[in-house]
Amino acid sequence: MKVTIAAFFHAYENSVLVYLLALNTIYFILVLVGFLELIRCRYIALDRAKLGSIERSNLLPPISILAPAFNEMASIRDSVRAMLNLRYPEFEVIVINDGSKDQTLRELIVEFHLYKSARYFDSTLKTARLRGIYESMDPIRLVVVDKENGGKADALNAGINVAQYPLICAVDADSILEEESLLKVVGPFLEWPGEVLAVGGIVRIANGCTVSGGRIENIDLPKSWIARFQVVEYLRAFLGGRVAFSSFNCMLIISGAFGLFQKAAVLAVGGYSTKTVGEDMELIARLQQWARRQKKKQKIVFQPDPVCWTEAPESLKVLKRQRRRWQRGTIESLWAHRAMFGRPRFGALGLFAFPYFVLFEMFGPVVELTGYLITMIGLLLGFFGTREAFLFFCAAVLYGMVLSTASVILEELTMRRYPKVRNLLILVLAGILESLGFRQVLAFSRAYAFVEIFKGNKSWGNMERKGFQGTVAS
Amino acid sequence: MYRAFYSRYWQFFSGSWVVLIFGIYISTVVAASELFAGVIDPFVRYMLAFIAVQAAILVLLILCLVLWKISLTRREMESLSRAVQFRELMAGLVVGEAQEGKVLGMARKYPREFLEMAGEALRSLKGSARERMESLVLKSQPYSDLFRPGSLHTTRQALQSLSLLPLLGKTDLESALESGLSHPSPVVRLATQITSLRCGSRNTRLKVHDAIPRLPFWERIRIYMQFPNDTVLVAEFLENALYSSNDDEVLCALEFIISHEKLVTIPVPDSLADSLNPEIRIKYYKAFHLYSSHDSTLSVLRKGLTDDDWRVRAMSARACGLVKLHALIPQLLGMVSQARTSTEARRAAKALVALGGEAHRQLLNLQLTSQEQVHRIIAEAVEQEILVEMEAAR
Repeated sequence: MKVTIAAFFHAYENSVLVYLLALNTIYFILVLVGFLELIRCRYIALDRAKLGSIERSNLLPPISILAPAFNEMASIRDSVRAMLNLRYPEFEVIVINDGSKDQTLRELIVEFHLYKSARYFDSTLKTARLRGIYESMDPIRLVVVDKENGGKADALNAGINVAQYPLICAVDADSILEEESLLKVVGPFLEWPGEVLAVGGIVRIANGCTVSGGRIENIDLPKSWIARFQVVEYLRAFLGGRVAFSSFNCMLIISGAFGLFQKAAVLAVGGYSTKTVGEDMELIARLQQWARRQKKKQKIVFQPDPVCWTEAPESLKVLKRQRRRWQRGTIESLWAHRAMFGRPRFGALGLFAFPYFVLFEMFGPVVELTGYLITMIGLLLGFFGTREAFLFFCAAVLYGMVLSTASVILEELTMRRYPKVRNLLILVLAGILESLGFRQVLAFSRAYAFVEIFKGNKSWGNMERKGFQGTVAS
Repeated sequence: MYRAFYSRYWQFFSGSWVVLIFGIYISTVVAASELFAGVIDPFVRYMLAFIAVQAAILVLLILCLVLWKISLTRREMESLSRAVQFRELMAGLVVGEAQEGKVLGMARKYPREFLEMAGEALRSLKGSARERMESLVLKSQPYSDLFRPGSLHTTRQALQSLSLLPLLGKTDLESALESGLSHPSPVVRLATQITSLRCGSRNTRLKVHDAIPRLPFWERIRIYMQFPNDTVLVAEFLENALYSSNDDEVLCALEFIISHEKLVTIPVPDSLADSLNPEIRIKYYKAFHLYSSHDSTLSVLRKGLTDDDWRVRAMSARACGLVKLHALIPQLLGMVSQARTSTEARRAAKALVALGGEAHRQLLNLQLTSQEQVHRIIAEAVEQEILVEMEAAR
């Protein structure tokens, strides 16, 4: 009996090792592809910049920026001001106050001299009841939609109804877009007119940066290690993974914090789904499915250059809650679009991206955790020696460390946002330390998302924000 | 590497590169497993090799990163200080205080900084000081290197020479433009086209005119933005394009007009309102207020208001407001109350508000008798006008 159990333990541990190897090998390849694409993007962008800006051209498609806000009183003024200061010939900012319980609406009315307007809109997408639409008496293109609470997806749908322009840019109201973000993110729509359905930009962490008047004045790293770990995580995810997925035209996610969409396409697929907390991923999956069914040459693209800065949670409790929600969103979206799994008719999306997300993003945390658990139990029961357990641990964490360091190198070779040598060393250290505890804690939270799904939890949970004033708290 | 970035075989190139690196990586792990030949279990042996390679890569990556950052920071500082040195030397040379030989010697060593500062100086200086600077540049090694066979093949060098050459008279310009137009990089080709329009010969300009409709949209946007403010050149371009039988050329002309937002002095053919291409009709009406007035305005706009495509109808309604055409008030009112899409109804309502007077009065009457949707559309249009007036009063 003992022999059988020991054999099971060995077999399971080896399977987890093979799984981790496969996962990290895919990451390795994604980082390599990302590296080449980023270098290419950087040089092409630099060359194009030498031709002068296009920001005054009337031919650029106008954009409606949609910013859903729920209890964002602390940061809403700075965020809206930053959005209004964006460099782009024609755009409107639509803030959707999703039934905030704090003074978000009041702040906006006072700061931007809003009045209740008679703006007309078609209620193409069903949403919670609208209480009113406000516009500014100043010569600024700001619209505030006040509605009853219905969740982020519902707020975005209300924004889409009110939007007047052919492109819609979904951003988080607690984020700050860089001045040239719109000019950069619209690039693919100009490069392949009529073919691009959506473009995502990179999201970076603003904790530690100095913010003034809705602008990032000085880039620095956060002081909290939890936020530093997230800086590395974001770099790895955006610069490695998404660049590569985009180059294979099989993007399955565009961050809800910053994405530009063709309004007609979003309306054609019925807008954001209110049934999931991962509305950003679900919309992209639906757009991909729709595009493949249309049999038209269409793209969903990731652009590494346009930057959106966001405030990352610094408390482990809030972070775990956020990751559980993200994981629930991933599971729900993948389940809703399971028809794409392994289907050749969806090309690289069905054969590579979708299985990757299911096997590694959805089940990854569960497999990793059970691997650790089996090793520990096996060690306690004497099925493994310390050498085997140590080997398992090294193999599980070392590859992650290498990839984190590689993404810091990617950042340095391409975007170079962190000016000091010290910054890079801290990031490398964060990349190493992240694998020694932090990743495992988050894996546990992500795995717990399965339990929440079985329990039928649909809540967003509370995200405490400190706002952008001076140096973003860390 | 530059050529690979712009090559249409990029995907193949990057794919091969990834396979190669991955192959090297696997081979290293296999080779490293020999170090652990004493371990009997192959799984454990390869695992040890894998861990050893990972650890080595990690250390190597960190070392490379730190060394790269330190050297980059140092190089940037040095480059900055050299640029300042060049600026001072050039200023000295202009007032006759520095030796030309010293500047040329430094230019040979640091061509990039020299060309950058020389370009800056040529753009800001005038008169004899500029002439002195021009002769310095023409004598310098970096300048002659720009025209060494093959030097234009690098995108950066090509862009640098294209920005410098127009500042230095026309000696080598034409030959550079010729080679720039056939450059493999689209960015260089576009920069050459822009430079050709600004200071190329008539022949090169005509070549560029012909090429515009074949350019991708983003390149066309850039070229319109950089189009020189030369009325003869603009008229020549518009005349050729607007009367062409090729839809792409007509579209380019209309895009140009929309992009520049300036009155067009040459007559624009009314026949564009009958084009089979809806994009042409939309753009034609979008830019309608920029054409010099002609007798057929009323009939052309009437045609636009009854077009099959709602986007054309919406643009025609907008044009009615912008050209203040009161004769079409009944049609616009009909559009507000019966339009098939809210966009055209809104455009019509705004046009009526812009027309003011009788049109405005009739619109308000319509609001009193209309259903909710029309009522809201009119309210929005009137409100917008009040805001515009308030802003103007401020």
